Amino acid sequence: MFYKWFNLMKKEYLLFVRNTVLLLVVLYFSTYDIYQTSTNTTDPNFFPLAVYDLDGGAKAQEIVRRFRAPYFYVKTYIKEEAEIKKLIEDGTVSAVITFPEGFAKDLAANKTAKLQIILEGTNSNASEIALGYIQNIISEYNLGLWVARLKAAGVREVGTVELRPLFYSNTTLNEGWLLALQEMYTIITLLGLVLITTAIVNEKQFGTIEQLMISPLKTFEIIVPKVITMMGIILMVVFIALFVVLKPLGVPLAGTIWDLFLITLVYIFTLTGYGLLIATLSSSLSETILISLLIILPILLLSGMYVPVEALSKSIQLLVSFSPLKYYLNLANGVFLKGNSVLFMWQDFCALLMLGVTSFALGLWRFRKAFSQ
Amino acid sequence: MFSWTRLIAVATKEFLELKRNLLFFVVLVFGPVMFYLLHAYGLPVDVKNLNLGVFDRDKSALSRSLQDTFQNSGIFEIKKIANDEKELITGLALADLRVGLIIPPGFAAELARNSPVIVQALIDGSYPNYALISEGYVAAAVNDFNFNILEQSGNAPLPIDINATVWYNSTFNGNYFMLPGLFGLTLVFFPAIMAALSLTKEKETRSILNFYCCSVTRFEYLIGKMAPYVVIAYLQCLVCFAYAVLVMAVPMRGSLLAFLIASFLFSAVSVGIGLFIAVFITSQAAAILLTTIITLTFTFTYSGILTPVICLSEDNRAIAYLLPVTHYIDIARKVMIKGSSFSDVQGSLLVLLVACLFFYGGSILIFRKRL
Repeated sequence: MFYKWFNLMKKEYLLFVRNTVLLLVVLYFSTYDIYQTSTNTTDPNFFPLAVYDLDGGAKAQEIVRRFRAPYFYVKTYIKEEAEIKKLIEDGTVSAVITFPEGFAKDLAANKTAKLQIILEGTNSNASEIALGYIQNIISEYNLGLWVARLKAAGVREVGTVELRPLFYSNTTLNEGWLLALQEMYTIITLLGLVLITTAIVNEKQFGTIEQLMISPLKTFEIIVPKVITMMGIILMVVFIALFVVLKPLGVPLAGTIWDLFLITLVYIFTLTGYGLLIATLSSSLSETILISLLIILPILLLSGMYVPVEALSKSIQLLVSFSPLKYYLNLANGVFLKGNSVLFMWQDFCALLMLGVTSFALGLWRFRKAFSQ
Repeated sequence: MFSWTRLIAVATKEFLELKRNLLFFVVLVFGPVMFYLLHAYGLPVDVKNLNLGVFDRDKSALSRSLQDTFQNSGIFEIKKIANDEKELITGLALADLRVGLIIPPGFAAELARNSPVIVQALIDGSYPNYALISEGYVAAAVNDFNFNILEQSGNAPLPIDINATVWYNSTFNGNYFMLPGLFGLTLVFFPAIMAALSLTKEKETRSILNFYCCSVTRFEYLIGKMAPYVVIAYLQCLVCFAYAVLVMAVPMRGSLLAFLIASFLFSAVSVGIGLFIAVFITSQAAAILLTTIITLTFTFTYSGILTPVICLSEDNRAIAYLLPVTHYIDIARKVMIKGSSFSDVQGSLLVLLVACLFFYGGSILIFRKRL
């Protein structure tokens, strides 16, 4: 029996390797693509500002200094009001800070000085963050000054709360690491779903599956060697990708490599289960690919790679709980960045395994039904 | 040489082939629309419902009021009241919590004695952007709490008062940002894949031999073959647009004509990208992988769909402006939200036109009627 299996696996392997373009594409993904993506870090906190200073005093300058990097970038000083509209409309700056006349005088005279901020709301998220930063910067400035004013007004020492923030796991907030990992997860997911579906549907489309049907093999024996080979190929891709992620990109692996291996194996198994299910839906390759894309995209977008799952609306969260990537993301990020063990994250692991076993069994069952006709 | 009859014949053949394959047709037509609806509804850009864990070692009325400040900010949701530090760390490690707050013992007593108190916040760094935003919100909540104390402790006016006005989108409605951007994502991806598949399918099943040995020119064949996909993509874009404006109440303030032209050009560009990739590749699996990664990675990293282009670093901004999708999203946002006129966006429209010529021209030049 193993001889039969071995031969089938060899056939699958050769089919893959002889498709030079596919092989090159897969190699490109697992190496250069990850590397390049990781070095493309963006700095969304570098928000371009314009300052419109009607006061012209040293006080205004002192406050502007607080608006510098890492959060803001003072792009230009405005001379007249008409410029505000122009700069914001063509998108050169996203915010304008106006110091009204008499700003410094009000501050010195123990009155409340007004500071005017105009924000561009098209980039709602960035603008909201920027407004938050502006408020925090001014609040910090206010706090010291206010305490001093209170003291002058006769109140003795006032106690205030001081915040000490500390970042857990990715302590330096290295975005490059995260991008590298994200790209690796994307590639595993894509390959996992696409390779197995194409391997099966291609046989259907070209009719070579008839040859397998008349061979002395059970359905089970046709599918399992295929799946094992594909899992092997994807694991190899993962190893190459992992090397790129760990060596030139220097992403730390806080957990053990065995934990990573185990969860990745289970993840690939789950993906093949999903792939198998998709492959039974149609006998034309382009149709299958189309359907799988409609499944892959939400998986990639909504599983928590870009936005944490808990920020999604409740009904979507329910849908996302069927996405294997949701669990794998937690597991793999846990192993990479937080140094968790699989045992520690057993809930996510069990959920992933359960999805895998269910989808695989369902896929096999559907495949059998299609075959017996 | 060139004949409209042949071009239309190729287009009709392609369309009939699509239509007769019912499942494919349904998915082709409704898939992207569904994708748009799902994400327009489900992919938020606002940071909210951050899971907060609190380890309150003081358990006083004042420390409770600090917790309330967090809860009332509308950003945090107190998910867990921990009994020791380890519980907080476990919550962060399992991603059940995003922020852990540690209030020290004697919090209320120290404040009453008018000396400063240090409160520690543990923030999950797994999403650097989110971590920074969370840090900002934590600081804002603590500031609110401090200002309350100061307001109650004596009679002195607040030094600086901020008066913020937000143009175009006074409530920071995330839909105004996301929905026009999603046009770009939906249009850059599906039409490109469809086009790449349609050509590689003919190559893989060898039906392309029919073309190699008949009188249709390369121009007529490629343009005719792509035409149905451009039309379908354009119609889909219009449906998504109607959904955004009519159902999700995203305004349409500027030149509708500019949006319609830009959408058409971009539908064509997207199909052109798929075509360009398919010219080089014979296998459907490879085409799909390559198109997916190229369109998605570039769109997510550079196009401004999540991170505004002006916030990118200098080098990345240069790449961003080379991509047609950046210009398309820019046009969509400007025309819809900012109310720009046709002449405001004509530069970007020109870029889309050039991209169109580049992809189709390149494909026709490189494509060979040969095995």
